[in-house]
Amino acid sequence: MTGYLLRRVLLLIPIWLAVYTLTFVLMQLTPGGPWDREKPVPREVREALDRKYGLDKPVWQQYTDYLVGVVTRFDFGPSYTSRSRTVTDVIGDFFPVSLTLGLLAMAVGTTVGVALGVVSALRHNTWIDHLAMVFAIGGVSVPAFVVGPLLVIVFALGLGLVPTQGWGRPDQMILPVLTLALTPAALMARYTRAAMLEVTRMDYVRTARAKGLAERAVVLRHALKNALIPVTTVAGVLLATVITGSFYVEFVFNIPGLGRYFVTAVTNRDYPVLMGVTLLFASAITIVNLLVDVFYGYLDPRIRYE
Amino acid sequence: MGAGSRWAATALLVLAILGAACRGGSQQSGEGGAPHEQMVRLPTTEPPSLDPGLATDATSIDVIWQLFEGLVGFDDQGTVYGVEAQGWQVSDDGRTYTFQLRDGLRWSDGQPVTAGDYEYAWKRNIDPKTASDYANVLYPIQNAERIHEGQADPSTLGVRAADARTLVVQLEQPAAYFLRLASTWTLYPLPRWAIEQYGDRWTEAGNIVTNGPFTLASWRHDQELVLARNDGYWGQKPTLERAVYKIFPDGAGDQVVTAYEAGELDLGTTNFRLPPAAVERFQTDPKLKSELHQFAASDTRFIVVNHRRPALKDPRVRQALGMALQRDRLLRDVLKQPGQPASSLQPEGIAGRKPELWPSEDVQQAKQLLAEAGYPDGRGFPELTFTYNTDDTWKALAQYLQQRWKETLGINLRLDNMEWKTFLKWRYESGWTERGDLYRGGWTSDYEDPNNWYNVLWDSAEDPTQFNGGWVNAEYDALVRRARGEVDPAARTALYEQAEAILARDYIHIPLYYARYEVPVKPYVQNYTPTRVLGNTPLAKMAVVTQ
Repeated sequence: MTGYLLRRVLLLIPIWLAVYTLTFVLMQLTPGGPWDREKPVPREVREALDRKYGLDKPVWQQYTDYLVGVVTRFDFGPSYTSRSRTVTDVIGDFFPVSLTLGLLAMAVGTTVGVALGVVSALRHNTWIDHLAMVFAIGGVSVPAFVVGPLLVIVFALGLGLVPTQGWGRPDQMILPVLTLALTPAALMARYTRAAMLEVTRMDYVRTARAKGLAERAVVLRHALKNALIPVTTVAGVLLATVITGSFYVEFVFNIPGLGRYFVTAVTNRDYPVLMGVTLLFASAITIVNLLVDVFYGYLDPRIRYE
Repeated sequence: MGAGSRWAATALLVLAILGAACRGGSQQSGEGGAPHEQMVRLPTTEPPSLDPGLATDATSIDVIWQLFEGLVGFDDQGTVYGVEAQGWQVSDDGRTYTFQLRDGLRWSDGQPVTAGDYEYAWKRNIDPKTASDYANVLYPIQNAERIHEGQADPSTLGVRAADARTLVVQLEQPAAYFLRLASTWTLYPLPRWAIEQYGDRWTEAGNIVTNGPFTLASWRHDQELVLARNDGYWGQKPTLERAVYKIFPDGAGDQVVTAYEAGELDLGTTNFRLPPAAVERFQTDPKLKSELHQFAASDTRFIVVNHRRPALKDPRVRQALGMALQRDRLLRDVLKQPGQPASSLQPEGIAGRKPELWPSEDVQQAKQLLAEAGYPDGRGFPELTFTYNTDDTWKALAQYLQQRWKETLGINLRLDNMEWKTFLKWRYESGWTERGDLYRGGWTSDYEDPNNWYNVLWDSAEDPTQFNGGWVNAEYDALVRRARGEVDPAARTALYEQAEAILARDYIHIPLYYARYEVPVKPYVQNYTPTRVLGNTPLAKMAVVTQ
């Protein structure tokens, strides 16, 4: 297990390097730069800005300088847009917000999704099952940019129960978390249902029933635990998605998260921020995948890593 | 009572309690929406920098304008008044300006504001190491350009504090607009000790030292920025005790309107346009309609013409294109934007402007001009390309132009859109100079002086770094260069009027409209009139009717 983990962690290094190189090349190829503004910046000013941020150096040197800064000093550079902040400040301010939003949405989504999935499987082909699956299909098909504003219109503007925007107080979190939780909830419901239907037909479940175990124990301890293995794979991917991909929800509800900032940074050609956030997102996705793999071993004793 | 209805009643009760609890937490205002204290909540975007020496964008400048101040100011009639300067003298040759500072000026940390703080700020901002975007605003000052290009030391800049309250400025050559420049943020004083102590982070809340009517109470990036009344301010103190800027992302017009309607904001700002979807609601709902106000701006939108293209070299062709448009319809039905049809390039408030010299809308004459230029009914005229940055408003404009010119002049227009930064860069590349015909342009004054338009935009020496239309006219260049240094205001205006006549005759670009600001303001907010230049919020003059 330790050897496996070590290998997986070491594998992160070439992944980071590949992500870094690819992102760097794409930024070089993208037309327009950070100093292209609507009111043109005079040549001398451009030159001064390039000198200040090292953009006057040859491209290969910009490539190595940044890399050396990250590796030796954990320095991800300054933000070109927000001149009093560094990339580390930006990530430190905004990543916790995206992480909180993502984790809350995932918690809500998983709870609701797994519960719905289990209930539909147990009440297979009844109206409960059909209703739950209508929700599941709706949740996957209706995008956040429809659900978000709809929730705002009904619950914030219409009923006045919660504020329309902002972040920090619990009442401001309800709508965005619900909006973001919808897709994971729907997907988890479908996967849990499918897995449960398969598992409940297994011999060991029949055996458990035959032994006279309480229905509750059969469902939770025998069926659900095994059904969760495929569901965990989906959950891992979904977790990475909701943490790194909550841009639209952050935009609609005016939440100061990293997803929103990332999109602004693309528009502004804020290279260091783009690089820092890309590396962070890449790390988040690879680490979540690693955790999922480790978690398999716990759920399924048949899976062991050498 | 059945089990079902009891359940429903309980659920309703829980919802009601939840709702009440949430409301209690989120709303500071009482009945009718009016607040209990002298405080306003208004939207903005994240200010890139609160450093007056570095800021270039309207968002940053709006906040800086509340926090800092400089030597002089201008009202909308163009009259100069002293702010921190109580008086000033200009030498006969127009090259030396001497300012006397008021007594009792203080920074927010209690230090006195001195002439040395101005000297420090200007030398720091021109230093190429500072990399200030607006360093070229300082160019009229002696040695500024050479310092900025690295050929001279910043200490040689023509500004010096003769004593704590006297600032002497030496110009490179006479510049009649120098007081206008002195009113801009780049020439505000700076607290050297704070900048040296905190470096780039000196503008963070807690570090920043300011000299204006408000202080920075807190700044949670991308969330909220709170200003507090500066009770140590030397002049008339603001009525508002606090102003809470709620920070929204760029383009969040819909969210701003929603927050405004939900009572989470007391007014909009010029940073956010009313989204097209909300325009109709604001025009039909009597309550919303009464809260929506329009204000003047120093801002013209126009179509940039590429004078290098053979078909567009003839002024009659350019005039025909401009005269064929129906600008009031364009604004009202197509763009749904507040504005006034523009016949000329310079907006109201710029000396020298003479809109009556410019051709007015007339389809018949437009057709005739095009025929005289050799293209009757558009026959033989090449297809033109109109380029714009990807945006719903400009797309609507592009489609209008395409349809209108086809119908009236028989000219075919190809539409081409680009991502924002790609578009900005394209304007200086061969894609535009060799193959482009027309693109959407616009300019807002940095300071309301003819120099900011006639010289900075249309002088052929400036053109390649500005709109890059390729128009060259030696007579025009000579006139505006003379006008720049002319000290006598009447003679100066006369020179600009001559230059205006050349612009009108050549019809160098196609004016579309003078943009206006349109901002929703709750009835209990008083004295909100944004500045014509940059649309700054006049927080120092505003008040709310409290309960």
